[in-house]
Amino acid sequence: MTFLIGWFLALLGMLTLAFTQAKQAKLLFGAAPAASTRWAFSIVGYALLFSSTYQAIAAYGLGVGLVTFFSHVCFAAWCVSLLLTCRRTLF
Amino acid sequence: MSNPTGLHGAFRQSMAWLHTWSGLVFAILLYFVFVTGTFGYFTYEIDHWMQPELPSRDEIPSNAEMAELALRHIETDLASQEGELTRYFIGLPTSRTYQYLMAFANLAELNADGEGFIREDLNPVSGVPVSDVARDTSGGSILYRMHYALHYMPYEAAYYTVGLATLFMFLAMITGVVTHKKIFADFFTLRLGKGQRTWLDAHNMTSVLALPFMLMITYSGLLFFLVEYSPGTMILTIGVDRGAMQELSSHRYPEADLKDATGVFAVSPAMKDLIAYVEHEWADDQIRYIEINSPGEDNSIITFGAVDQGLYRDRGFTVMRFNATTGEVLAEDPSRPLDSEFYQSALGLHEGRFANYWLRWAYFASGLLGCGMIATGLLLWAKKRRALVKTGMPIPRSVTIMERVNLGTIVGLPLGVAAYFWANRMLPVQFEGRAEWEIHCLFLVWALSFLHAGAREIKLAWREQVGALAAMCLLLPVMNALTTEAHLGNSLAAGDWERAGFDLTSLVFGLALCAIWPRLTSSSTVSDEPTSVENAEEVTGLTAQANKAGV
Repeated sequence: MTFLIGWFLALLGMLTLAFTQAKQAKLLFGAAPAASTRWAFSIVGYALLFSSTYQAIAAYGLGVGLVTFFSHVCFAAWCVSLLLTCRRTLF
Repeated sequence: MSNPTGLHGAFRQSMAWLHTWSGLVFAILLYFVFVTGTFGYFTYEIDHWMQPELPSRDEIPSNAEMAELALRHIETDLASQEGELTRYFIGLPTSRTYQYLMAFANLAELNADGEGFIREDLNPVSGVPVSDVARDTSGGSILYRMHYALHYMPYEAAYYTVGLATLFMFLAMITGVVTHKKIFADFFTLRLGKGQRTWLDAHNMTSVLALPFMLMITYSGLLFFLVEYSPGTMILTIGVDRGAMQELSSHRYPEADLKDATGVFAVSPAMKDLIAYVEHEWADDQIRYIEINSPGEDNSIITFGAVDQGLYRDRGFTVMRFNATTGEVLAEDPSRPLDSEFYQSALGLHEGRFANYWLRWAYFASGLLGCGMIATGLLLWAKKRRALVKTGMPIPRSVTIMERVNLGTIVGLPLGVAAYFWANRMLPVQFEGRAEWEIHCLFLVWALSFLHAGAREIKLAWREQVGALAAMCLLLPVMNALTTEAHLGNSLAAGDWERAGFDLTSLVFGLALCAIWPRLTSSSTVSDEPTSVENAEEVTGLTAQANKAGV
């Protein structure tokens, strides 16, 4: 469960960071958000990634925690990419 | 007039060229290393599946009982066969390696085979040698070993070859990052159904999203044979004599002065009491091994090694020592120097032995992404060159050969691995040399897939090989059920998730291949038709982009 919570935080973080890219946000929302909104998304996204890092290190220690965090980010990014690919294919 | 591309553009182009060729030269070997290495993350689980006669985790007795079994085996069977023994070593099953109980002893004199030791793996429940009760197999460990030692060639030649390939891969990754202009803009981008563009996106995604893993695995892979790869450094810094090597070893792995006792546990303690004491002291840790030096002598020392915590788990550095005669608890080893900690952590990172099951699956999936990165790079190279051929022009021989080599590599090797697992179930249990024949089957099927790719029309060959691989994956659990009692129904009912996981993973791979299979009819891994003149411009544009992206 601990592992999944960390991954979920990373997934939310990567999804939020994807909104900061005009191309990806347009795909998800239909229109690119305003610059200020995208700036807010990037703050939230990095905060979520930071909390995922903190959670992994708190649960597994520094070494194993960092490895766990990188695996979270990698597979969260994959999920976001596949979600965007589905959107691109379907709509 | 200045160069329109500028110095920056020229540099990027140079890096793109270097990326292409440094990646391509050793691509087949690297694919082999990645495929076999990826299976290596589940070495023990594959071992478990390949020896269905051995017990599942629930049946494993306590450490004290297993130590008793192993000691009895060493002191009676091994001592009667080999004479005087100077050191006993008992490898206890851990949460992952629960299948074997290892009994190992050093001999006072070399035996008839010229060896100074004897080793036997025992069934941890009965204490009977595994070779007497379970089928002979190369197991998952040979797949792991092959990823750095290859097969059918001398060990030294193999690790130097793999080292060179790893160095090239490291170069390809660094140049790939330099070349990739839109690394952040394209971060989440995978455009399906767009031919060459799709393969370029897939290549970028498999590489960029798993970049931390790729960099770590190549860099730490080079560190494994650090001394062998840079012998000059060793010679220049510490010399070549044996004393200097020992000095380096004691710097890396310092040991306590064993005269310093820190307390008395008991007088002439029994093994089961020592185990109970150590299990109490180490709380959650598991005992990984027990070592008895100079057994029966006054100065005999018993050492317990733990499953280490942190990145270098399972390397056996946390120890507790006792004077076997007086029961004194001896001084702890001093901590290792920082360079040694870094080195061991890097090796631990590479092997991922610390990983829980979630993280282990992440390692496995990252390994698959590595395979995907190499496969898409190979396919893109061939597609790019084929796309440049205009209607009516002959396809260059290099392109057609490469397309067939790609198929034999990308699908042929997994076919070989599947054949390896099939051989484990199909070869008769009493078959002489069956462990080696399992490996022969892997390479025979792999060689056949190259022949098949060369003999058939390429599109058909893709369909047939992917179809065969899908069938082999889907039918492997069926073959398991027909030949053993450890089939999916039984393993699920018994909660034996290692064996069940193997069968289920095979099914998932089979289903994924079935999903891909119909697409092979319409597109995509290869196109037989040369590019029409009207499309040539678009293709050239994409090719230029691929060039810039370094593929």
